[in-house]
Amino acid sequence: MKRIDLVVIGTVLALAAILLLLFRAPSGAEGYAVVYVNDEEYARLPLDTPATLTIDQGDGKVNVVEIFKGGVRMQSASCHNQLCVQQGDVTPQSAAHAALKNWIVCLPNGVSIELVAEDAP
Amino acid sequence: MNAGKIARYGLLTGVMLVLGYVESLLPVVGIPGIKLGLSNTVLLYALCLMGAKSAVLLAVLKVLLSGFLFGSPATMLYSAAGAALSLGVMMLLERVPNVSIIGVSVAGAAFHNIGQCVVAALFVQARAVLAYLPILLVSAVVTGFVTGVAAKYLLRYIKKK
Repeated sequence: MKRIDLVVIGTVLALAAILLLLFRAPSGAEGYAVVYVNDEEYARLPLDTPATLTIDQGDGKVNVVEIFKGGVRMQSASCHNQLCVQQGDVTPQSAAHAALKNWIVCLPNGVSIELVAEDAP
Repeated sequence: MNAGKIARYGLLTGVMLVLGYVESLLPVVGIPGIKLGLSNTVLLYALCLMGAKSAVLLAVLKVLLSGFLFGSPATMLYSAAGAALSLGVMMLLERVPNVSIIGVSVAGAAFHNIGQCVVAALFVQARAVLAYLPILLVSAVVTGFVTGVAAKYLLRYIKKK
């Protein structure tokens, strides 16, 4: 291990820190969830109204998004790894310490959900 | 390519596939996309003792074979992008004087994750991927360090023989 190795390690960690600062999780009690399919916005759901949204892409890819009071979860998904369902409830509180912050991502189906929180007026 | 070389490449490819497979059996701690990357020790070995061309050949074999054996076209795309970026950066850093194998390994691990994130960004919102990248980078420093130390002692042992 040499000094320049520490420079390499420091560079990687600095990059991580910069990204963390750029993509800070939102704080606030109210807001909405934006559902994206691939790269396009599919729906925008207010967090104060409980709802379920079924996204059927027609090729066997089905995701069910559930809005509950104050948060969002992936209720079910047709994907093989179920990582999106295992992510559980995402709320403005959970976003502060979750690995994926304010996002739920179903990579195999190309579905992502962003929790956008706003400060209560 | 003579028989000795062919045998050596076959052996190294086999070691990489087994290491990759064993790793896939280990439980991952709740965070997808994080793994030790032990098969990178073989690439580090090849890069240091056999040259860049050999390392590229081994990486291509690993991506193709593990894709056909354990993966799908999608997972092959992820590992190809990860391997290409990772090996490219490792080849560059290996030429920089004073960078030890540990530094090469850490950079390789980080760029493996960056390559996979680039592919992921093709399928979902890029901002979701960028939000996840910091955690992957921090884990890459840890896993890259561990594999780098393993490769360092491996090389020391092999050179003695």
